[in-house]
Amino acid sequence: MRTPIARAMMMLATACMEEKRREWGLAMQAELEEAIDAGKPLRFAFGCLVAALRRMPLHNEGRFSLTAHAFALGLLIPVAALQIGLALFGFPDTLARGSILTSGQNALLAGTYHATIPLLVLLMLALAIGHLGMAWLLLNRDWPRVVKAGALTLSTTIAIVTFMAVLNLDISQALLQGAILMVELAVLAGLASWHADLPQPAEADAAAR
Amino acid sequence: MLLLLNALSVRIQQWRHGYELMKETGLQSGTLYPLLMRMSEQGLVEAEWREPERPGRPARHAYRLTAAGATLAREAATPSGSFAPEFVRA
Repeated sequence: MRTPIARAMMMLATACMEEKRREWGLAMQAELEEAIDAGKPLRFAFGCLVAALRRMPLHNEGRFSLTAHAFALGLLIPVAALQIGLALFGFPDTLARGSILTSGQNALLAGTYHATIPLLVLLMLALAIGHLGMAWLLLNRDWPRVVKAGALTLSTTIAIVTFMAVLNLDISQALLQGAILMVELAVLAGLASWHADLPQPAEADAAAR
Repeated sequence: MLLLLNALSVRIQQWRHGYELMKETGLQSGTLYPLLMRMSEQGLVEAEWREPERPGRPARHAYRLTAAGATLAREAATPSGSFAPEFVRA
């Protein structure tokens, strides 16, 4: 069990290293075999991982990676969790209680409004899935698909706001989520631009030579 | 860094592997590899991929001192030798 954990730690250490030092990561991975033979794989791998993590704030690729993880784990995923919670627990209850019905609606039509709940829940879930997708694709640096997930999320938000406005429901919360989404998309665009400026694997290989 | 310089200067022409250097110097991997990287960037150590000694094993990185590294090691060995502060700190 110790050996697979050590190998995983070593792969993580290599992934944390900047492209121009990727060769050193491979060198450490090769040396892990000796540490396994000596019965000390975890100690060796842990040392390499700590060394790689300590260097991350010192190079541009490391700073990009830390920022991307902080953005995904600190904003995109919590927002997705909030939307799932809202869709499954909060939103239908609120609508059912009629607390978001505005004065322009006829209370006699409440039943009709309640019938819209499943569709709104589905849209909220689509929004949450879009956020999770953006987080996953951001960490994979798959920018074309990040754009698609962003477009899906944006169009879903517009659909929710439009739908709620047509029903004359209180759209302040939906507008707030839309504003947050615009901030998220702006940050994603900034991260994509930053990533484009980083050395790509082929360039790093050439620089190393 | 002085520990590593000493270890590499014992058999100056011989290529040495990372794990072997760890055992010899008592340095942990988290200290040894950053040192080797820095010394390599400073032109004190050269690195080369070597064919595996046993089949089925990956190629291994090996290290030895460059001429500049050997000069620094000699200076380090003499008591009157004076070094730039970054070498002493490392």
